[in-house]
Amino acid sequence: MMTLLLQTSVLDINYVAIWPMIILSISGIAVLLFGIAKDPVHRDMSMIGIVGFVLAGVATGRLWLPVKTVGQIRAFSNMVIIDHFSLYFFFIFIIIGLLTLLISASFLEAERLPVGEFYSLVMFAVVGMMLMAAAGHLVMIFLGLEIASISTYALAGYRRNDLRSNESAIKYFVLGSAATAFLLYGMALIYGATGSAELEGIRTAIIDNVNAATKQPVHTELLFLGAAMMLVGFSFKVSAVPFHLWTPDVYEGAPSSVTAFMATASKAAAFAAFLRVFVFCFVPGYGQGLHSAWTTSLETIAILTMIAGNIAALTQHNFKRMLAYSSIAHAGYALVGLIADDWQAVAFYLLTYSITNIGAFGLITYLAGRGDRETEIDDLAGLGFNNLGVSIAMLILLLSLAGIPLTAGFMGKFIVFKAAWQKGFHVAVIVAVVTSAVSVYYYLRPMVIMFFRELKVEPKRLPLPTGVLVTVVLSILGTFYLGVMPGRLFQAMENAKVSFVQSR
Amino acid sequence: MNGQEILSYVPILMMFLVSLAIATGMVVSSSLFGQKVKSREKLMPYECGKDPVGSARERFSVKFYMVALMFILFDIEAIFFVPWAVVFRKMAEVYSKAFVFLEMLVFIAVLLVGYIYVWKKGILDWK
Amino acid sequence: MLSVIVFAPLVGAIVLGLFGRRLTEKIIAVIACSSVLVSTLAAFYAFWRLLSVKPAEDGVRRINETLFTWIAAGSFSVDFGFLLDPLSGVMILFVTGVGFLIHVFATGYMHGDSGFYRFFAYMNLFMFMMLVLVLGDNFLMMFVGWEGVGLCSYLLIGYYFLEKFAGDAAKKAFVVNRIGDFGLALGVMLIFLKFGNVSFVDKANMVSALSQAAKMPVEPFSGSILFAGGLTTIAALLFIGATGKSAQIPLFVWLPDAMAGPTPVSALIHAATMVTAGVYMIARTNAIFAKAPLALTIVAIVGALTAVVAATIGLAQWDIKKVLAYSTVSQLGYMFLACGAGAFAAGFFHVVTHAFFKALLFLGSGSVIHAMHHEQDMRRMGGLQKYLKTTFITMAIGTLAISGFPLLSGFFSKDEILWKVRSSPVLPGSLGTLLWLIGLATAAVTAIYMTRMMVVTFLGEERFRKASDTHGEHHEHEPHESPPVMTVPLVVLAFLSVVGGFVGIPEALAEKIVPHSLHGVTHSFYHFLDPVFIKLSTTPGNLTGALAADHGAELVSTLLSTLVALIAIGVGYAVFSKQPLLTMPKILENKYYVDELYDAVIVNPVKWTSKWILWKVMDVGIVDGTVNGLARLLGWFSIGIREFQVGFTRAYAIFLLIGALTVVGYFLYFGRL
Repeated sequence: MMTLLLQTSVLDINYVAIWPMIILSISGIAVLLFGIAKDPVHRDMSMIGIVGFVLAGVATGRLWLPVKTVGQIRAFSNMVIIDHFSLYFFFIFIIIGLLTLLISASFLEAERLPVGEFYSLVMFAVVGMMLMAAAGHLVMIFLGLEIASISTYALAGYRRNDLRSNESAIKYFVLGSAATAFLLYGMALIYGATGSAELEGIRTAIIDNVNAATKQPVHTELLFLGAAMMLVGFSFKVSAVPFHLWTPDVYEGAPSSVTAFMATASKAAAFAAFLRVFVFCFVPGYGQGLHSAWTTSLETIAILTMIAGNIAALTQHNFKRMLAYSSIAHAGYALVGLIADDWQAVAFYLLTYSITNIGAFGLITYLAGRGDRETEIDDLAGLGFNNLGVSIAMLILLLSLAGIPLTAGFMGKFIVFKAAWQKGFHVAVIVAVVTSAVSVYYYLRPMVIMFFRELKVEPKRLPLPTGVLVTVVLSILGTFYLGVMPGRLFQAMENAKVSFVQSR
Repeated sequence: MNGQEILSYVPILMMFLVSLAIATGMVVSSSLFGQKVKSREKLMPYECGKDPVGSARERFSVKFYMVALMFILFDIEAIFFVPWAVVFRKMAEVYSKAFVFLEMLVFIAVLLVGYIYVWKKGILDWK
Repeated sequence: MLSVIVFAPLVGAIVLGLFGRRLTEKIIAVIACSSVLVSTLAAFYAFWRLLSVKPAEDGVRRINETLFTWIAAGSFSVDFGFLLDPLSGVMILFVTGVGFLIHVFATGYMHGDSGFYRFFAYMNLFMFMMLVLVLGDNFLMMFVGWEGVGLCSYLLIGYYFLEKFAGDAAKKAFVVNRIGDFGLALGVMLIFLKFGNVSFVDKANMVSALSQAAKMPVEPFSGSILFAGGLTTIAALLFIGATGKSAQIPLFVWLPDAMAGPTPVSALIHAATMVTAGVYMIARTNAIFAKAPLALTIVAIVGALTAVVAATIGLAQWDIKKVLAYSTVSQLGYMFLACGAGAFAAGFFHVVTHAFFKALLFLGSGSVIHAMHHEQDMRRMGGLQKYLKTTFITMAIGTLAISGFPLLSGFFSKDEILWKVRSSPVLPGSLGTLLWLIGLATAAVTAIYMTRMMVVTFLGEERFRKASDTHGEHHEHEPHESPPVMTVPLVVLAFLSVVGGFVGIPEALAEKIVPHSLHGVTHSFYHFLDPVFIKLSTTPGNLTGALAADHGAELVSTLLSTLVALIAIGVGYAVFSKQPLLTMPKILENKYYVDELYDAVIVNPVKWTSKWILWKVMDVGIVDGTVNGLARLLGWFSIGIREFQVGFTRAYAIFLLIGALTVVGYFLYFGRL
């Protein structure tokens, strides 16, 4: 294989293009080595982690302008494509990864869990996600997915002495592997049908209807079968109905900060790959109706997801479980953007959702207290006036998740629904609007309990850890910034659209 | 898929059939032609010639798995040296020899970090 | 300048929310009231500035203030901006003014409450949201305010959260309002799809949705047009939003329960300001409603029905706040009736006068409740006028105003509404006449139940002593008049209730009773607002519009409604001063059903409903039943979905497989097509 590549093309090794990944890998390794020192200092490791993420962010930022001028940078024989799409997702992953570190610090300390491995797993997972977003090749998507998934499997079971955490990890691992198998099978079939595993090659093969290897017409059944398999695999990763069943159990059992990471970054990464393959390769008008096949089936899936996610969330008693169902519902909204072929809308939606959700989970990590035990919604009783700051922060974040105007959540939904409506997916948009209206009910229930129910027992809560405080403040600022003044970001993304067209 | 393509898979099918035939043939023929003398010794579970001691369902120390896992990991990593060696000359035509060599050094360094981690974590200690 | 009006209360809310816990009551009161005072002064200044602004091409004076561009996605853009025009100008004057008085009153009423700072933080936040609602220069801003006031109302209804009924009432308000908000959201969405923007005013490169609507032809009056996705559909959806917020049939049930909140809240939110947001919205979007005669007719019918149903229910209430709550619902019905008849200005004038006298009545009732140590049942009152002189006199003025006693503010606004309905150019056939009769009947009932409330509370024998004996409670104190912080706002509001009507005296009446030189003043309200409302065209088949210019007929109508009010007050006094407790609800209410209410709902072909129209049954049976039923249905679904969640990994794997097979099957089936 390698010789083949050497003969056909130059192995364009381009380290500049993957600087963010390199930086994160090195700092991940550094944290790991620090962690096995005799007497590891928590603060030092946090610093390395934070600096690593910040540097990765800077490296990503430095790529933005060059990409703007050349449209996209390809490296390693089209394995990696750096364009504004991937850079945008890099930012999401880096922000979420950084905030995950911040909200984890206090919990790791309190539980006396090893810090180094946790941080490095988060960082490796982020590297995997970046590879997914920047992949130009099916195998690259798979590798990125595996790096990210295996790290998160380990993170989900990080509280080793807790049965729920173990259960969560095992379920996630077994089912995740099954889904990955579907995905891989799909990739193989698509390779068979189109004769190429490069996204660009697949796209050309479908448009020209010529198998890149055999020079014969593309095999339709294989192509459809492969697309269906990949759709199943990705749907599992974004937890869309009916492939969502693992989500509540896994989210409930995993440590809260890990749940936050899974619900935001993992989901965004899966969407990034989903968009790359489906929106960029399976284009409308070619492939014997492949486009309409996947959009119509995804429309059904999106509708089911929104309905099931929101309605199931209505009767949950556990806060984390409720947010798990809510994250299912949000995946449904993002899918509505996906079927509209509008990656900007999806990407913006994921950003708004991630920023809000990470703050909410940060507060949960804090409120859950020792051992992540107090995660029932009833445990919030009386919090309102006992700790006004925390409860108001929670209120704002929940309102954003519900999509009330002036918050990021509203703007994200608005953009997605607008895109889908213009593309003619009226049923999906109507379902989305109706279910959003329903969702307000369960988002506000914690608030009712916080403010309108008496305090049962005065819980012994420690002062808010700095990491959580910073995360929540950033999250709320982000929520309002994106909700009130999203103009600049829209502008940046409009420009990014141009650069993508060039790459076609 | 046209007929021509499928025909090219026929040898594989043949191989499957032949191996299946050999395996079943041996089992069936030995049970048909072999003598059957049932004694106490013959009905005992086979354990490398020794008399079995205790239950067969015994728990093993997790350290066995750890060591086995580490062995497989580093074993497989070592395989990556082979393709690198194969393309070394060709790659050196495009990039410098030093660069290609350095690439492998980086790979080994990463492996080494893993090894140090495993060592320091005490996975190789048998206490 | 407009930003100051809006953001001053927000600053107050933030300061109180963050530091309120550590401050003394006095400082909290000063912060809360001064932030609203700043807003009030700024509002008056802005209004004064508005008067000197040169009118735009369409004759409307406007001050537009854009803070920044909120959303700019492609061709679609929404500004974060405020708009001051005559409509919002009048609205902010009384919102801030009445709001300030109620804040002052509340510093006395809430004295000693453990959540003093919290209460005022919410109140200030409410003022902020209300001002955003009124001053927002596009539908989205209005929607923000709309949701915001809903949230604050929800928080304040549930203020006494330790009491179960308060929590329940808050929940009910929330659920019912959701239904309405949903209609509004759909309406706004439809506006966006139809006009490409959601703005109230024209901007550079953008013709606002309202201007576009104003140029469109009038839609025909037919049932099918309701679902055609045009202006009638939009108007109907917006009206659904209004029925939720402004408590109209069938969504009015939350308002009486909302009285669980502290009385100043009832006065501010559930009488004077928030509940009139629906009327404001319809007045604001009159360009759309004017083109949709069918929607207007629906508005008028719903308004009239609400007015009469709520008024009759008010007759049988014993809780002093519930009487006022039903009265509010009924008066809101009047306002919608006016809007539906095309008389937006008259409806809006009633919003203003109603804000004065209803805030007065609520604060008065608050003063009574305060004096009676949180007793709200009128059966345990009586004879209070001896103890609460100021409260009695001011409330009596409020009662006369709401009953339509000549020359008080309510008289002018109600009279104008009745006449405009009588001579409406848009209501089909002689529906105007019918609704006018309903309005007159409602006026009579209003006068009776208000008189009853006054008589039972303030006159007659002092029943509270007896009551305290039977209940085993020991009243150490005599009822006492409230402190000046509470009575002064009452007096100011009473003054406004008396003179507030003089800026809007109906033309025909003004000719007879006002010197000619003063006509500019006495009709200034209508002159000022007139440019905001677009010209109505007569609906085909309308029989009442021809009356519009007949001043003689108008005077007859005025005379008639005056007589009705006076007689009703007299009857009410005669009956209830003799036997204040005679009217045990069951008999009276049952009688309703058979007699008056039966006629009122004859429009409804389902006759048996009328038997159940009792406020309790209507409330608990129909609307609650629907809401609860819906909730239960969703609950079942939810549990059904949870059933999948058995917890076994293998079960999940099976589902994964089934799902995958379905998707693959679908693809392959599709692929062969």
